[in-house]
Amino acid sequence: MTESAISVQGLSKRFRLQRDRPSSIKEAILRRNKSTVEDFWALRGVDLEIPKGSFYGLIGHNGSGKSTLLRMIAGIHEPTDGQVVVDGRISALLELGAGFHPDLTGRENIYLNGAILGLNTRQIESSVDRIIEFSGLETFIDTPVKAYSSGMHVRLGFAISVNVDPEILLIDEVIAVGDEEFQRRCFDHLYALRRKGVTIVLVSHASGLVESLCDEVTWLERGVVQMTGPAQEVVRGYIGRVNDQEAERLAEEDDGVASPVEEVGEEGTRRGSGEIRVIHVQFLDEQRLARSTANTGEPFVIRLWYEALFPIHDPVFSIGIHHENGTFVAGPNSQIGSVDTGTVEPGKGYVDIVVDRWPILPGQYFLSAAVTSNDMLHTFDAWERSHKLITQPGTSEERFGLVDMEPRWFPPTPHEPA
Amino acid sequence: MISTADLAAYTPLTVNFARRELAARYKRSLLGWSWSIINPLATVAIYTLVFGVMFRAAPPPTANGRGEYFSLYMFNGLIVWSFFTAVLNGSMGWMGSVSEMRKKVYFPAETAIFGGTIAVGVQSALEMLVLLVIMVSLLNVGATFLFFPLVLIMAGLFGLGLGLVVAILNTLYRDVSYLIGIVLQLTFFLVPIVYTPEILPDEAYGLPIKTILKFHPMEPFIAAGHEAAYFQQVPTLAQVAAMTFWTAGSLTFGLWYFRRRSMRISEEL
Repeated sequence: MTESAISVQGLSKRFRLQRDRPSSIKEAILRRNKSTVEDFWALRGVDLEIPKGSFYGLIGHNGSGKSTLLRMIAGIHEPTDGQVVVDGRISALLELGAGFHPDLTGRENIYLNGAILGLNTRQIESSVDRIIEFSGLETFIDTPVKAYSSGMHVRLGFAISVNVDPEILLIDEVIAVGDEEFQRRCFDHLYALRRKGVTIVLVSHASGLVESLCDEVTWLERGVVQMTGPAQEVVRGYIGRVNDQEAERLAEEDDGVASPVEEVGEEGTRRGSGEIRVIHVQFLDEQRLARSTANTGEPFVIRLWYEALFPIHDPVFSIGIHHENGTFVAGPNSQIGSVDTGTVEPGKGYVDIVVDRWPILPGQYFLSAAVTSNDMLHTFDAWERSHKLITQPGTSEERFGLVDMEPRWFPPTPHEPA
Repeated sequence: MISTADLAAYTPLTVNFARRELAARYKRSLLGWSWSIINPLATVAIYTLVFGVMFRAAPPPTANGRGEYFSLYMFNGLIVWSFFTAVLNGSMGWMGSVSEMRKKVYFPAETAIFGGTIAVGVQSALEMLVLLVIMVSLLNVGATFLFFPLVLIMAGLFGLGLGLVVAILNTLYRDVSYLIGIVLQLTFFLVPIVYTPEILPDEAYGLPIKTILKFHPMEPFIAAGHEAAYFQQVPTLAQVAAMTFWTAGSLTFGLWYFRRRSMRISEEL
């Protein structure tokens, strides 16, 4: 059996959620029993062995207790029950700007953070240059960090925590904030650290990231360990659960959004990892009033209702339209449409696709809808030909083929040889 | 739970907090650190004006018997008193300044209070230097002055022990800091700083006031400070014993209480 860097034994954590906690002595005396205390168990009987030198992942939904577990490994909270045994010096990157004092400059904060990690001045001095170089913040290093953007916070925080020779590195999602180039540098560095034998624990709900980086993964749900094992196996189990829950929830609130479109279960298929999903498709007219069909030549709006479980960076929304005979008619997406989707925050929302004059001729069509990653390599959710889209004759007189080209005809012009 | 050995590893952090406290002190002031000297000098000057010219209080004779400097007698006691109160009062603020950070990253929060104490100690040391220079210029100085820094340090540590306790209490109930302010104001006048012990009546309202006030925890510190500097006397054994008792007691309890409770501050909203 390999040696453990972190051993979590029967760990439970109870938070007291006190409503109207008295904040003065007077209040405490006057309303002795009036404040209501509610117990919230963030973790219940968690057992974990994280082997030395491993890249370990913790996944789970928001509120599953994964971050609390990481914070307890870091020593921020005291266990209510059980214990955490850590063998090695911990460097943690738990929150944006954690351990930074806003009024101090970047450089001063490097010293402060080094000291927080228990380094002496000589040790810090020997790594200051490396940290500044890694962060790429040379020009801003003597500026107070309160002027930093969130990306700069992460760069500095990450640069510090990986360059102070940690034995155990704890990372909570935050690396997802930097730009792509910096992220790649982070991952390269993480791999390098791991080759040096550093134990790395990563908390994330980006299951793809966890699957590709980690050796072993633990999946937490409501503070209880659901599954521990090889990364791929656990991530699959987790995603399976996410999809099941989503399907259940959709079935429950089917009449939530007035969608005139029936989902064609038999014909349509659905796939994707589910971090963000298209939960409904709605057809609207130019006044954004619901309608059941499209009319050729008239304004038509397709509204994609989505629900994101996590913040999604630059997702690409796309639709596809197939004729009932299988011909692929059109497949626009938000990237080609030059729309910057930005970061989609967790929650529901919609994307409107407005067509000023619906070019498709009357007939039966099927609509596909998808959300993919920025590089379109990863599919978050894809409905394949799942929604029936009937187009009726509108203002257009066109009758043949599939689309109204809106051609302009010119009268015959006699050819007169010169 | 952390051990003392772990705390020692956080010496750089303590120094860092102390530096930050010192750097923040005279930020954006033209004269900067000169204020550390100007302030105590101004205090002496004001007391000289008020008690030497206006009130004409009768001070006890100095050791060299040459003059009677009531303002100096007050300044002498005040240095000891202000180190104690600055640490006690400051501890709540120092704790507050790191509590946000402590919620996001682990470090022993004591270090912030230790660092603050060091910063205040530097200020007290400068005041002591001012006192020394004045004493030298008046030719009222001797080897006993060496006891003064020791008395000063013990007063600071006494304040630190209490400070560790009130810092925790203040995170729970904000009115602790106001309460401490009032208590300190009252107790200030219960020790001979702005008056000499001789003016106290033996009895008032049937109570042996003089004897009771002997039990004021700060009394031995102030008195020993007077002995060492103003009177050029070796502090009495009783004074040393009392100072040791209060300092050791408050530090032991303060450190124990702080460690027992400080893990919970990361959960306070």
